[in-house]
Amino acid sequence: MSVLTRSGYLPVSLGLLVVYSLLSYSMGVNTSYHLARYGASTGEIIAMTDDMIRLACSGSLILVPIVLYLLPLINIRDGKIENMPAATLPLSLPVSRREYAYSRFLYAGGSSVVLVILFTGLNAAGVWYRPESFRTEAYVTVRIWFALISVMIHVAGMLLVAASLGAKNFLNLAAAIFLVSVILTWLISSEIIYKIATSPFFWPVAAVSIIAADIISIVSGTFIFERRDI
Amino acid sequence: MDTVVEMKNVTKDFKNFRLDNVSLTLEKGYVMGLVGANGAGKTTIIKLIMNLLRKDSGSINVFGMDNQKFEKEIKQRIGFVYDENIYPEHLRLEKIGAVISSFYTNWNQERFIKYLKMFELDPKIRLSKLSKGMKMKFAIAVALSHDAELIIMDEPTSGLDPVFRREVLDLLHGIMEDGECSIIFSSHITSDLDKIADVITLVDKGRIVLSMPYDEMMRKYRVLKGPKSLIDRIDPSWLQGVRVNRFGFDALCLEGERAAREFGNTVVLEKPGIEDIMVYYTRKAGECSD
Repeated sequence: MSVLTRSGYLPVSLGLLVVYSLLSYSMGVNTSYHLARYGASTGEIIAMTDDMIRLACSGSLILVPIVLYLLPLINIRDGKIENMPAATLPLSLPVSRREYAYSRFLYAGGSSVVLVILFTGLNAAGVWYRPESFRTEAYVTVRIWFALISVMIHVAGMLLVAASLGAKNFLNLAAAIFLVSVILTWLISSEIIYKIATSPFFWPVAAVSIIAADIISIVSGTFIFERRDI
Repeated sequence: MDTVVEMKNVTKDFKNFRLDNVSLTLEKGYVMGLVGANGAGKTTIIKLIMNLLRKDSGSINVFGMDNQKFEKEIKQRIGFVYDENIYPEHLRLEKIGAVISSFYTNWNQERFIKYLKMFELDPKIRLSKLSKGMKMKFAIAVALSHDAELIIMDEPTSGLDPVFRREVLDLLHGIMEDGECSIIFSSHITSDLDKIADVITLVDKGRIVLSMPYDEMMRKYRVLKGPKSLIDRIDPSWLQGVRVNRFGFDALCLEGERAAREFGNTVVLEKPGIEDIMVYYTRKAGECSD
């Protein structure tokens, strides 16, 4: 709540929510038009996957974790970016370090899951916009969209929280996380992403991967935070 | 007597600083004045007690409990005031109070409002609109509003005008009257400690060089000035921070009464303040050109 009422933060967050909601929906609509017009061949879907990767990694989706999970942790004073001594107050109150760390993960995890579900749902709604479109094929693009935003919003958000808990000066670490996320997404080819998305094991694999990434973030972030100086 | 804070052989290493083998004890109902130069280690000691810093070795018990294992239970009973504001600047005072109150089982809203009134702080105003001194007043109001049994204050009077500094000290005196509360009070303004401290703990370069009751210190210690010829006749263990100049020497004498008996009118003995004691303990002994 304290962060939300910070000057200018709420309008920026709401603006971002509206922009990405519209983007997710319009991408779904675009997919249904595209597949209806050019057919739903594997090549077309792979080409669309390529577009999505570019969108997700061209610095566009990266704004979401930056605004939601990085901005509240920094302070800009006299034009310089510095870490906010955010943990001093809660850790002087009757709160254990573990509780504080868990509350941070709960906020990042909960809000990012809601965003991923919202953006995926809007994308699927866009696909359903044209009844004559190839829904089964278009459904693959919804899965791909889900996988990409899960990594770029949820996993990156949780890793950011882990980084801010684990290191006093975490901005370099945060930059590294973004860089690695972008590079990884670029390195994995559209064909591989297509194959994963069309696999019958997509949902179990996606669920296990996301949960595993969350557990690694939570355990490592909390472990280091409980042992470091504030 | 109940021990409120007990640090035993605590060590903490930083890149350029080491808190070395620190031991101190604060009993219930006492005010401990932590005094020392900038960078001596006062804030490090306070942060270690608050578990904001992790000790490398030694033990810290607060209310008889390990300060890491029982962090939550201990902090329920601690009020804190730091030298810098740690509350969210963009929130109104009443909102901050409402947020903070949810953490304490003993929060007393009436008392909080009473202190805001007493310190002439408008509950509707945002913290960012307040001066440094006013922010400090607000931090003090929060610290005193949940029946804390231990109040930890790191430079609480810095940035405050003399009138309000006196008010704060009077307030702390009032709180101490029932003997249930203990205070750790670090300050550069040694005159504040003269007014309030029961025990003085002097920190220098990461070590505790002195920790003793204020009254005993004032009874025993004297600033001693005398001719050079006398230095060799005085037991060196009596003297601290000896400085020799062309007129004679001066030092802190740890056995003021005995020195008065033995050397009578050949020396000048003056009652020291905490500042004098700090200066003599921390300065290097040696020749002085003037």
